[in-house]
Amino acid sequence: MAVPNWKLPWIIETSGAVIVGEESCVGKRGTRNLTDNSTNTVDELMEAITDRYFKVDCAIFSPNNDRLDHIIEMAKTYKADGVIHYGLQFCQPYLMESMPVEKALEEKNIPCLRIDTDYSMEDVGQLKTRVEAFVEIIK
Amino acid sequence: MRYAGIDIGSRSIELVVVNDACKVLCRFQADTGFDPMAKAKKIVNRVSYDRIMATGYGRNLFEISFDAPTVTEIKAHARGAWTLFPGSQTVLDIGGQDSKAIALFENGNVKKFEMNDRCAAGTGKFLEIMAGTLGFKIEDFGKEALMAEKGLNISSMCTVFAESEVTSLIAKGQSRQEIARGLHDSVIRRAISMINRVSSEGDIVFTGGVAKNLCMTTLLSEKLGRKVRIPDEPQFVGSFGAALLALEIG
Repeated sequence: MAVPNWKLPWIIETSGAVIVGEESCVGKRGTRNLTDNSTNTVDELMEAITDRYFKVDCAIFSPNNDRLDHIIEMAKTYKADGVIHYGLQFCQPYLMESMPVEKALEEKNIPCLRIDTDYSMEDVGQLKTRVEAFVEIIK
Repeated sequence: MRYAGIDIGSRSIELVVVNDACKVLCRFQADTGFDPMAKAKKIVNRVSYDRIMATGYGRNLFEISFDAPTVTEIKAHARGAWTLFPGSQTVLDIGGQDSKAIALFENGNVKKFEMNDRCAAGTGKFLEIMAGTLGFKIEDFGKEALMAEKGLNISSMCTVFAESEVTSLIAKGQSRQEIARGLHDSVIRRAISMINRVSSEGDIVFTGGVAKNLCMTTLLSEKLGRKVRIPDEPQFVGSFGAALLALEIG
């Protein structure tokens, strides 16, 4: 998701579901594993920044098992009934990683819906049908 | 008690009424047109029922006008198909403007589904427009396509681009039937990749208006190597499923 693109969050929350967590570049990824700023020297701070970068689990990295583990962990922590994988069409890494994410979740018996979309509104009707059907499954 | 299910789709509206024994008492169909609620009202006024459940693209509009519960067409088709063919675990629904492959649990509940993205590629509307371009009646389109010995390769899936491609093939003097066969082949390829993403074995129930197309049903079972079951009235499966779900919520 990228603010102010509320299309999918709006569809989800008007289809009988509530979003309890978000794992994306503008969600949890930006606020977890923050840089350790307790060090004093420039060298140590540089190390800390590097460490932070290496903990980023963006789909651009491969292998990227940390992201799969983190999604499953988030689903458990927030007691989610299901996971919607939201890929924007310009973000190829996310779209490509949606299959392994779905597989990892299914292995843990967590229902998953993969959605590829963009900022335009023309697919709202179809998305609503998909999200509502997903909500029917997890209800 | 009488339970009705209404399926307000992009191309047509279907209404089915069932009794407590799930037996179909009556059914109606009409084109959706530009004012689906007016059409829906007309059909609904022709029947008496105790409870009605709406599905299809117009379900939310219907919910507002009639204060009726709704269900997605995915669940409605799943329930309809599973009731008609007990034990079936895969459903392919190709309607006017979308197509879905649905995998079911043994108890008939939806396990997983795939649905086409945004445009009408690979749906009934695509076939309808192509039939028009080639000068075939929609009901003969499948039969004519089956008569071709081979299908010409059609690379565009977009309805508008495919129409241009068909026009240029016509201009080259290619056979109408072979073009028609190529168009069916491309829709089938798309349907098969959707099915393979949700299920890998077992019979398939083919629902939606496109299941009346002989070329589609023949090619599907041929290319997939799995048995394809066709309901007698495939376009009513969604509304039948909705009627059954109306019965269940009671």
